[in-house]
Amino acid sequence: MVLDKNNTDELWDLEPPSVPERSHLFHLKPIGMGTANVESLTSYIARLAQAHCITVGRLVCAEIAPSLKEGYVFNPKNSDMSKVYNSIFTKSLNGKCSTAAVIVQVLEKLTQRNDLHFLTMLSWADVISEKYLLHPQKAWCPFCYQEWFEAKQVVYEPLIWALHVVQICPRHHCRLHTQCPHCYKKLPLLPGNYRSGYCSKCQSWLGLFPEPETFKNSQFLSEEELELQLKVLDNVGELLAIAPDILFYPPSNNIKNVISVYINQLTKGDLSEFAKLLGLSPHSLNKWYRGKAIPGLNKLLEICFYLQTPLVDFLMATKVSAASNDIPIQPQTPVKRSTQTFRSNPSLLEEVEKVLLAALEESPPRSLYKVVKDLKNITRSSISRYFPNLCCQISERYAASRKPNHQKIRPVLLSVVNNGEYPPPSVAVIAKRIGIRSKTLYKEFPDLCEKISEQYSCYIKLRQLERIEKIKQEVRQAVLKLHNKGIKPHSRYVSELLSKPGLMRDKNAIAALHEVRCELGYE
Amino acid sequence: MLEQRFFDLELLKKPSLEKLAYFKGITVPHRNLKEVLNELKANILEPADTSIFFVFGVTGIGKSTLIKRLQKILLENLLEDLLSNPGQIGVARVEASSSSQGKFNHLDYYIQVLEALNEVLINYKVDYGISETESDGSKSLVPAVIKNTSTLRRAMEKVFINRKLRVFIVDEAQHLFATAGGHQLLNQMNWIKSIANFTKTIHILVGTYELLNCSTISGQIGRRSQDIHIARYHQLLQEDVIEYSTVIQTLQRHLPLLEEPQLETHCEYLLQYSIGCVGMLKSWLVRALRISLEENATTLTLKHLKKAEFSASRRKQILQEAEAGEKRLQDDESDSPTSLQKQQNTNPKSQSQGVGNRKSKRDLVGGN
Ligand SMILES: [Zn+2]
Ligand SMILES: [Zn+2]
Repeated sequence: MVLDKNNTDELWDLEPPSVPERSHLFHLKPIGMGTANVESLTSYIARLAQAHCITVGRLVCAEIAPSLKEGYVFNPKNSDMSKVYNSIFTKSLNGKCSTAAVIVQVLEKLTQRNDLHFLTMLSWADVISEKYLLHPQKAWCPFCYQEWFEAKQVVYEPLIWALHVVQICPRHHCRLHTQCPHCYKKLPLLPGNYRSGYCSKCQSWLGLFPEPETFKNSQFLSEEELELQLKVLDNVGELLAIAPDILFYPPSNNIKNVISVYINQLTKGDLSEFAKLLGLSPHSLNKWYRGKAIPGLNKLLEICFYLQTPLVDFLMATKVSAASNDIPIQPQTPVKRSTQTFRSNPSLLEEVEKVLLAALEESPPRSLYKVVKDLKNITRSSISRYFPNLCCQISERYAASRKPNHQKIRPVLLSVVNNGEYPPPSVAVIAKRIGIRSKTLYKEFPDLCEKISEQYSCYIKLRQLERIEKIKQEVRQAVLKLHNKGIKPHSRYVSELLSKPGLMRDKNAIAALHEVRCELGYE
Repeated sequence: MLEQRFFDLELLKKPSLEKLAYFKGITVPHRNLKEVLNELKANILEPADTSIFFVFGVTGIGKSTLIKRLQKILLENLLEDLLSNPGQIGVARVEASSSSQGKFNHLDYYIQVLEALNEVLINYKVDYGISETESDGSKSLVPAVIKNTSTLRRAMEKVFINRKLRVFIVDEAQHLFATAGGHQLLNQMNWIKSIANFTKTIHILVGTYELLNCSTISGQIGRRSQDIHIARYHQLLQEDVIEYSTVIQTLQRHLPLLEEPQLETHCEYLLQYSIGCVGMLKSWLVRALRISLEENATTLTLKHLKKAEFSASRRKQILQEAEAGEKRLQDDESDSPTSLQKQQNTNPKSQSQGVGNRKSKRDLVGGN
């Protein structure tokens, strides 16, 4: 009967180890994550299509669109490609609109990545207005294209090119191109026939050799303009680079709070004075001040330049407490760094770890998504970056609870059936113990569950019988006591002698009384 | 009183189909397969220059078992990578199909490989014309309406690279070289080598002795390939007979019958009539078990073995295949220094050849 399991040489096991499901599309790594040169979402989609050797149009229509909710953006049933591409759909993908958020979600599911969020401006959705956020058309640096091509590097489009406030290439300091030098057409961001580095209208290569001649022609910027643009690049670049590291996406009232601190500091609460000082329209300022609107990126930069505050600090100023009114915020000195990152806040790190560890003990287990959601605004990607193992364990545990592990559960159920645990537990109790839903348990192990529930109901019945017997005995004793004292055992008198006052109303008690009274000849 | 059995005794109460399924699922390791496996494992897991392995042996030697076991071992070694990279596939296999025209079809092969790797939208692959090797960037995006071989090849290579495929196993690989003429054979060799080199995916080509044609040629075009022979067991080698008898004893312990059969007494007969191929031995025993179960016999006897044995023509065919292959191998090895030590294992076969033939005619009594 004994199986010779120790002798591993006896037989060969050919069962491969279980490997979690592979990503549907390639798990392609975005370029420049965590830097100012991070890739844009449209560029990522294009590279993903190219990696799979399919057109962008095919990828969007065959893989992305079917995963969108029907009626969302377009109807996938009668979606012809031009419709997809004429919609605002692709224009705002690198920005912060809900379409971008949905597409990111779909793509993250298809590629099993968790960082595609940072290829858009979604991290800053609540503090930067959509107005003038993105270039309406494709903007590119032809010298970058050429350089990458010659160095056999990946040709891609950095997110920073897509921002409306950015006019020059961060590397070459030339003006970004928005017109094909061959057909003079403006180009859409993500056409169905996109090839990185090529014009989608005339198929020409868009790269240019940075010869002195072409270079000079692209450089129409004055010293002053250039200086301003470099400042823009610094500030915006930091925004893009820091996004994967921030813990809380800044909430919209940050703007309101920070502005009111500055107004108090600089113009003693005088709003129109402040507007005049910064050259802003008092009407817009009033809206921002009252939290009715948020400024565009261009306005934010103007304010930050005037206040000599890095844009990131301005946007991230999470809480401006009453005390911070006293912080000497001079127009000439930058505000204290308040960006929340795990690096800057180790105690938060501990706190998150505690929550994750606790989640591992929970029964039934929750999905990682739910656990992270409870951590308020801390981003899922930053958590999974700092706690890859814990996150993995939580997901696996959850997955295991959804998909019962027969090999582990069966012995547990068998031991409950065979070893006669007392009192016998119900199926619901065991399900809770294992950490899965009892419904699943019933479905997967009908025989064992039936036995367990039989044992349990037997036990319950037995308990009931015991209780009834106890009541009977109590009533009998009481009646006999009265009878011996010569008192007629009326139910009222009996009731007074019982341990619980209402007991005489129990039908078992009544029956017992009746029985004894018969025996004694009262009835 | 109760003898020790190696399976759950409950099995004896189960229907015949379940007993058969149990026995079919048994895989017995044996020396020759272990050696091949260890060699492959060592070469694959340690960084080496070899990018193509030719693994060959006679029909029924146990190639599919080898592949399954190899896949399991490699996956276990890659498991950590696979858990951290949900896009990686790591190890995959495909079975090369024989084409009706007798000539290998590249297009079909690419499609088969793409399907084996669960690639999306195989019918919609396009040529981006931005080659990793050419710098001709003027081509426009051509949709592959007419399925284009070079487009599909690029698609396949991209899947290999993006899925971080470490090892690709081609079963029945002799079909890859089902082309006429030495020149075309050379082309096919260069073709598979360039794929392996470009994608940095180790290719393991498993097949019959026909693969020997390629290894001769591969010797001419570089040292990035290695030949591995799955040898059968030979009657005249004492150590082979001992190993075979161990395999037989293990197998018999797992025959779900009331009484454990005493097959080791028929070792010689079993070795000879299975041409020394454990794969053949196993399928023979499966059939014998079925017959025994149909008869409600308490155990498996010589009578059942006789009924289930391979036909004389089938045995002859496989024996010829094996001997021809072994002879080819020996001839090839005599001028290949790298596999000299391997030769020692397989050397005595030249003697066994003649004897084996004679014996198969004489010894029909079997056993004893
Ligand atoms: Zn540039
Ligand atoms: Zn053009």
